[in-house]
Amino acid sequence: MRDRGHAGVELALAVGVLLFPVALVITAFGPWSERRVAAEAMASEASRAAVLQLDQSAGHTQVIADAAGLGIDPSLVRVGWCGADPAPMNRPGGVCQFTRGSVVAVTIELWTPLITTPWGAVGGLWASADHTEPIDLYRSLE
Amino acid sequence: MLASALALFLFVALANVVVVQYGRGAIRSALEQGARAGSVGGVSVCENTALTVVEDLLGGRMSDDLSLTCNIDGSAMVAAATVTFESWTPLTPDFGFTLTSRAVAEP
Repeated sequence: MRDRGHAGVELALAVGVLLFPVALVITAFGPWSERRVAAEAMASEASRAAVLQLDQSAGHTQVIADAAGLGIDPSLVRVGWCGADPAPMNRPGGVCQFTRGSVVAVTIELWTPLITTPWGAVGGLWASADHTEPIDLYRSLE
Repeated sequence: MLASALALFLFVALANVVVVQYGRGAIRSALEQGARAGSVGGVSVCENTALTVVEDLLGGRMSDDLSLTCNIDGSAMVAAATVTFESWTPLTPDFGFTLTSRAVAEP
């Protein structure tokens, strides 16, 4: 009786059909998680900058600087101020009121490729985070 | 045998990528905390805070090739780091990058 196996074929199939796709999914989770944390940090610093300087454009400048500092292309960032839907950085939505007791809210969305290959990214999704910073009731507005 | 070797090589490379991603996140976190602390306390506080975070999150050989600086840029504290992580697999280049973080200084 001949009892020859197909171990080589099975290993190739296991690696190609099961292990490799699973490994790609696992490695895709890292960048998504990192972009999510980066979006939270950007929203936090942008709202803080706007509140400290009482100027929404200061917050927007902070977003631009943060994106550049993290090596994120500006076209992969969307910003929404004070409840507005996030929009591309060159035309951010929303206007905030800088009065005592009010809050400045920022929503940041960063595009995250699902799979990055040497030939470009495949798929992707927006990692979103928001942050709200209050304007102190007793601070000077001058 | 060859398929096993290639599969092992592939997974070591993927594990390397995951670890590099962790290292990148740790550096970014250190810069953010350094810049935020420095926005109140100055350049030396920025550098000390960032280095403490790096020590906590990335102690050992991974942070050996790290260069970290803080400086004041207008009204903001800027922390910058350049780092190179060694590749674990042959024929693969090391992972080098520069990150910066900026925090508006307290008035």
